[in-house]
Amino acid sequence: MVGAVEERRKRSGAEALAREEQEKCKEVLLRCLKGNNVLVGKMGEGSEGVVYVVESKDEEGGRYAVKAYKTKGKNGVCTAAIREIGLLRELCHENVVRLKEVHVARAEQRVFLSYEKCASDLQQLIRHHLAQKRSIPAYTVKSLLWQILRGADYLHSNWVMHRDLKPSNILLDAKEGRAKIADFGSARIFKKPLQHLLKANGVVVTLWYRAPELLLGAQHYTPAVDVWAIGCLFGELLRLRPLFHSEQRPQNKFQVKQMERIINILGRPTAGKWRDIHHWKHNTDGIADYKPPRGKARKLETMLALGKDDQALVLLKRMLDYDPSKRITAAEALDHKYFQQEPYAGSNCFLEDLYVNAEGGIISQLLRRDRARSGEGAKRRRVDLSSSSHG
Amino acid sequence: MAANFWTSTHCGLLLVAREEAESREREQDKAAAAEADAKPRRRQKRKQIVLRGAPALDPKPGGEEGKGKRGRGSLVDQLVDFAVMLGRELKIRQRPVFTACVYLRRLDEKILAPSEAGLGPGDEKDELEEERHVTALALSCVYLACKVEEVPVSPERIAGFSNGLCSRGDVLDAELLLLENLSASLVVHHPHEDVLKYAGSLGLGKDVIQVANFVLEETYRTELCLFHPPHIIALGCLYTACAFHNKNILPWCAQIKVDEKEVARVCEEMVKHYKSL
Repeated sequence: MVGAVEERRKRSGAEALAREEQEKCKEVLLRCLKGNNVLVGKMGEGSEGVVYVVESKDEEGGRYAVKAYKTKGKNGVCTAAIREIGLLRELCHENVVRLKEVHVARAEQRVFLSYEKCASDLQQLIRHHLAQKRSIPAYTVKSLLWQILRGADYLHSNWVMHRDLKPSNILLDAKEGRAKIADFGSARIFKKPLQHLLKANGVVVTLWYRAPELLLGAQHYTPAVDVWAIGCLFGELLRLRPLFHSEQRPQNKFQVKQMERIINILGRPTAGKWRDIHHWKHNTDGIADYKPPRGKARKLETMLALGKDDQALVLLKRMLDYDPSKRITAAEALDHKYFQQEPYAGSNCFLEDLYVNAEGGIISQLLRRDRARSGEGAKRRRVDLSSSSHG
Repeated sequence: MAANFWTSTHCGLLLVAREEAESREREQDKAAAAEADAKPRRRQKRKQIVLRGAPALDPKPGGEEGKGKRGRGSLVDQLVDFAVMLGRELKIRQRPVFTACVYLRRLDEKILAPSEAGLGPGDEKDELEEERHVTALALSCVYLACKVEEVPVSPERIAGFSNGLCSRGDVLDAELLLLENLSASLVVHHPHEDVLKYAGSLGLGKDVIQVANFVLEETYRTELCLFHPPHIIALGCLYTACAFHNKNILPWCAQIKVDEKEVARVCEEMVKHYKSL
């Protein structure tokens, strides 16, 4: 009895401390930001820090997001913050979130990063549609995938691997209908690593989006792990539920459940499908002779209710290839037939009639031609009409 | 950008550094007449303190010292030497150490000597304080660079190198100061890869590459990394190395549309640097 009371008191004490800590953090944050700002609310909380929404009361106005990192840890500014600062300072792309400023509060040992504000993320969009039991329109899915792939292609061609792509890390700018890749806390430059990647960084990517080579304990991996995650994301956009979800086992252990779940849907990886499979550490740990239990084996096409020849399915299967060396790359995926079919992807995923493509790719060219043709036709008809009336 | 040097913050900083250097030179010309040599002397005094156990550099009498605050033998140069030594001692890879050297050079002069104004000449305690501050900065440069290059080391190990002068807390405090002062541009491009690439297309032998790499290592003890893009530095090193073999690569540089004057200037700087040793 006494123990319980004490426990409760202790807990409430800890809560009060945490609240105090947060209040202090907010105060420091407002002092750090230049100009007149008001804290609107909290957007999310992660293991490394808290994201706040701040509204500027200056002439320009507008809201933006600020991430507050905890730095009281043993190792100073956490690696996630360093990565995010280092990489985002260098990156500049419309499908990658933009870092506005870095604020350092030296006395309080805190680091704040302010970003451009995005209203929501992909997770919220998916949840919203799931609650309403309506699937996401085909145009929106295609545009989102197109934009995410473009962002990923930009990252990969600049030697950056994101390593934590998942719906909650893709922000959505509601006004412009644009997806932005965010949270570079586990991203890194993979050009000439000084150590092999597993040793340097341990386990990466959230479990449900983790590529099979990572699950099987590969020491080296390529940007193909990002493509796998985008494939999972694509499936989730179509299905509104994660493609491969399982319970997490303690970290650093072989995640058998997740691998089994993948096998249930994609079939067993064999040496024919995946040449290097026997190299991986966990190759034999129970998956070599694993057979999906009765009724558990499912097919992608039935799960997603897609026709066998649907290009969406073809692309998804290419993105979920077991062999990372055969898996489609982000650049190749952008050239896939799926994107050359109607409805064409656009830079605004919520508005279908805005088919503006900044790169001047096939889509916008096709569209321009179409528009020109229809415009000409309309004009000619009008001319005809006027001439006939004159006659 | 990681791969694209031309859109990187590193490239932007080079341009800024050049402009600043030019304006500084102009100012120095003006100031030289008025103020002779009040400050360099104090810096010399600090020299022996900073580098515990390091081979003390003999200050060149006359000429060199009066050249400016950042001339050979200045505080920054000592800190760079200190960082390189630290890297060698703790077996840290070359790349993070060189990144740390670039950080050190990019630092604002003001934060290297914050208590300069209130410092009395014979004040023992302040001197120790300042020594700690400067050493902590150098240590945390290496610490931060290791983080950026994804080969993390523990702050205790780094702090341990200062013979008890700096604690772990000092290093971590200095890290925040660094982050602020470097205006958060952390990714640095290095010329090492370029040396191999150019040597390959020039068809140079192993011995030449080795000499070029020695010269390259030495460039971090100069200010070259502040003003020249990595590929020019790489070519400058190759040019220097080729000179030993009576080979002139300047025409080739002109062929691949690289400014030969810049390359020659890098070589010139290096020769000047070697002469000052």
